Amino acid sequence: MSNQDWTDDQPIVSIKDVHKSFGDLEVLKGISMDVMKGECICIIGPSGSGKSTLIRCINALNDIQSGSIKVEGLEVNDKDLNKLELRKKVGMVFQQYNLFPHKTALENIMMAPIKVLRQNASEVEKKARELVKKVRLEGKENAYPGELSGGQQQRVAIARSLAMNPDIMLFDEVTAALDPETVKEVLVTIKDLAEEGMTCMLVTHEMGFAKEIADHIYFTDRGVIVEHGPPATFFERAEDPRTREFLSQIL
Amino acid sequence: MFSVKFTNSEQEAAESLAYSRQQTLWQVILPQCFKRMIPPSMNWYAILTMATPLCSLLGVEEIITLSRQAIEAENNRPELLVPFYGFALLIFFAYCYPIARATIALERRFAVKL
Repeated sequence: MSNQDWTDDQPIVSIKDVHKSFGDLEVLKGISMDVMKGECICIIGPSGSGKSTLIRCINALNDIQSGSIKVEGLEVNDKDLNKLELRKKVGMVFQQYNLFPHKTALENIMMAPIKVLRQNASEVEKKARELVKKVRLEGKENAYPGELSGGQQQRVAIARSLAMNPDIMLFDEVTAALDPETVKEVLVTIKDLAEEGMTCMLVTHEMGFAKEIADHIYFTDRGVIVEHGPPATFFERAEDPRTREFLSQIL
Repeated sequence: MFSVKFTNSEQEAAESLAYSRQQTLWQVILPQCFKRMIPPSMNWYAILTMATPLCSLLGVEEIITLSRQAIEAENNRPELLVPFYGFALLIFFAYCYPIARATIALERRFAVKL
């Protein structure tokens, strides 16, 4: 397998000239980026610019037409790709939480490690309880998703992904469906993760947050990366007129 | 024109957690379908049970017909009406009550509060 060649000093996610269309609509028109291990990158841009599609391509929820995406050396654009191997490395959190409504918070977290990774149930439970504590949800272990607020559900979803011990976490507009007060509790959780050295890729509309935690910011528009850079230069000295226009509307 | 894939959001979450197709079906989709199926299927079952006496019209021997025949065999003694039909009632109850309890228990177990 090609991923055995991968070492820490190479990009953990390497995207090269990725094209993706839905029918006649070309969503990604040649995207390239490299993400190093432990980096936290934010992708921003107007709706419909292909941000979510890009992030979904990384764990093969969407397939791509051409180009290459390598995750720890594993080629995602490969017909014979073992998707399960890939998805064990890559955790994903969705805008709409997507928790399993028929399971309690704790069961949501424990299910995948037990059923997919076939880990020992009592060890998984111990770890799940630690994760519940980590996302600050003590006391909610036995609540069903429907009994939790949006912010709490989203934190369960984060814990559920973390339970699989991924190397990379993808966040797809995870705060877009939350009210301003609960946004903060979710962002704090993500910030903790990023500070612990988890490789994070976020699609977000929270500019303040992106500025605070990102190592690198990418601005996409109409399927291409218009501009990218570290937050300090990106927000202060954006060069492209399209980026400036977007930032002036948001900030 | 558009080849957009429509997927249930929880199915997608399961996919991203490295569930196989089969695991997704058994762990995520069917349990939820089952929960939604309970109330309507139990309704039908109750209606069906209560409608069995109607089958006697088609000549099927069921409990009410049998009770009546038993009473006739005893020369239609009126004091036997209550115990004979009462016995039929007991059998109906013994059959339907556990179903009702089981329904409640199942609905509680698969309750999804939205």
